[in-house]
Amino acid sequence: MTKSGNKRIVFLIDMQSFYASIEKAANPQLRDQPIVVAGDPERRSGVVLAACPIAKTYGVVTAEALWQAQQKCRHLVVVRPRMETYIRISMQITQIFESFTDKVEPYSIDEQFLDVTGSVHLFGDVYQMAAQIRQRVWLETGINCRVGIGENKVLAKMACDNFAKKQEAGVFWLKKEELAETLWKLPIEKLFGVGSRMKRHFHRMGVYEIGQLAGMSPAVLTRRWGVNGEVLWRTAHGMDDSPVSLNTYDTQKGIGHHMTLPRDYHTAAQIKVVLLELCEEVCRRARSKELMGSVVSVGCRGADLDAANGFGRQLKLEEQTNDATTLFEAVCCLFDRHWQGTPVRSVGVNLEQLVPDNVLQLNLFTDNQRRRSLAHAMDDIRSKYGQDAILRAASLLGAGQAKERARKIGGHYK
Amino acid sequence: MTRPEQSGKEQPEPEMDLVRRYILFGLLFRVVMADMTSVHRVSLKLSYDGFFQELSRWSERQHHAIRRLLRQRGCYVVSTQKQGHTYVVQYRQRGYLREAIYSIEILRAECQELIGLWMTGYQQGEGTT
Repeated sequence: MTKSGNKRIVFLIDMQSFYASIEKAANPQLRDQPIVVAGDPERRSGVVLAACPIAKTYGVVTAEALWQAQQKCRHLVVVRPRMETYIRISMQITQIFESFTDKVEPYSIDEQFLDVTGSVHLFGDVYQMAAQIRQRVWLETGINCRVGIGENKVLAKMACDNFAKKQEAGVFWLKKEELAETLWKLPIEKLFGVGSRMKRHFHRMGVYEIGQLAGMSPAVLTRRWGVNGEVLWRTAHGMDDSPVSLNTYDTQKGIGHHMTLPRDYHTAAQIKVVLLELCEEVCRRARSKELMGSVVSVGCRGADLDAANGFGRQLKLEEQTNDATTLFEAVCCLFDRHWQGTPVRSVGVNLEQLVPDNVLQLNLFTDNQRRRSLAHAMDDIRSKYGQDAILRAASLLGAGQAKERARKIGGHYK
Repeated sequence: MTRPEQSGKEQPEPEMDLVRRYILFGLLFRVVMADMTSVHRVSLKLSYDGFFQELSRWSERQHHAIRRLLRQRGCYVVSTQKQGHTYVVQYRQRGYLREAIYSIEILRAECQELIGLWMTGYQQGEGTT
């Protein structure tokens, strides 16, 4: 513990334009050019996954369509993603961080939390330690990283997103006692946990700045949003007791899989092919974790992801399952009941209320034991010979995505 | 590579940078010698020989110069090892054993940059300095 009253020191380290920086570091000829890492350059399809700082000066932003980015910057260099490399370098960066502290928690592929309370004195002071980390990451991977510092994870995250990323120095310490002069002056959408919809709700309530939210009674927020309201109030006050720990994600509440389709799907038959593939994937992951679930939810949305033109519904199953056929029957039931014939661009299936799968409900009418053995045999084949080694016949139809996605990680090229 | 900005409150360690350059030049002079062996199979080998020799000598001289600098600062490279896609270097700095984990892809790109730098100097008649 530090001398300043048992306060922790937490770093949130964010990699600048992670994918694009890796590509630039690996290819010196790209270093002075505006580049984006995006879908498939030959097909001009997909979205921008990462844009380098030079591309950003042309107005190119992450998550926009590739053709829009190319219109903004005519000489934009488009690089195909290499997800395996990005994951490998992310793990290499974790290894670098682990030489500074044993408490490292990967938050995403390009963001990691470090609790340096116990080790900061070995590296000088907080700023010297941040500088050494930045220098090591830069020299060993070619990536510029920014460090947000706080006494807990929420403060470190907001220090990084709202201040460190905006400053040349790339390091910012957001102190709880200085929130009134720093965080509270920012617009409400800059608060961690406030998205575009929540921002609209707050604007309707006349709350435009984080300081206004901090000044409200937590009871008012709890009445309106339940526990989430109180969490927002605590976030505005920089209160967060969660530890920096790898075990944060140990308790899994649900297993879900989501897919953005390459084009609009118009018929139920086409959409059900994708739903079956999603059920297969969800159940495969559930089996690999030795879990099964009793609540299934389905989500479908149209091409305009902002407009509320889809549905998201859930159903309680009669018994827990991790069998794809059983899950698919429930998914089809939900889909047939709630789909209104609108074009679908994005689909997702979730399995929740998970329990261990070491018990099996016997059934007079279906041979669950046989189904389970078949599923495990298919899992073994896939793990040995690849995801597309064994597919359902429906996946070979035009609507099927399983074969194409077997070449990808998270929908992006390996 | 263009270095990221530093805030006034930080004191970056020059040894880290020196170790990296020491490793890069060490790899470069060995790689150039290995490439020269494969070039010996082509018919214009005598024409290419001088180029490779010169480049290798230059990088080896830089490698040794940086090693001297590191020793003056009490810094010694203890071990180097390829581990999968990374190149792990352990060095002793003022008694502390430290580690650097370089991405091999990045080391290759940086070697290309060094060759480009040497070529520029060579064309301007500074190749041997």
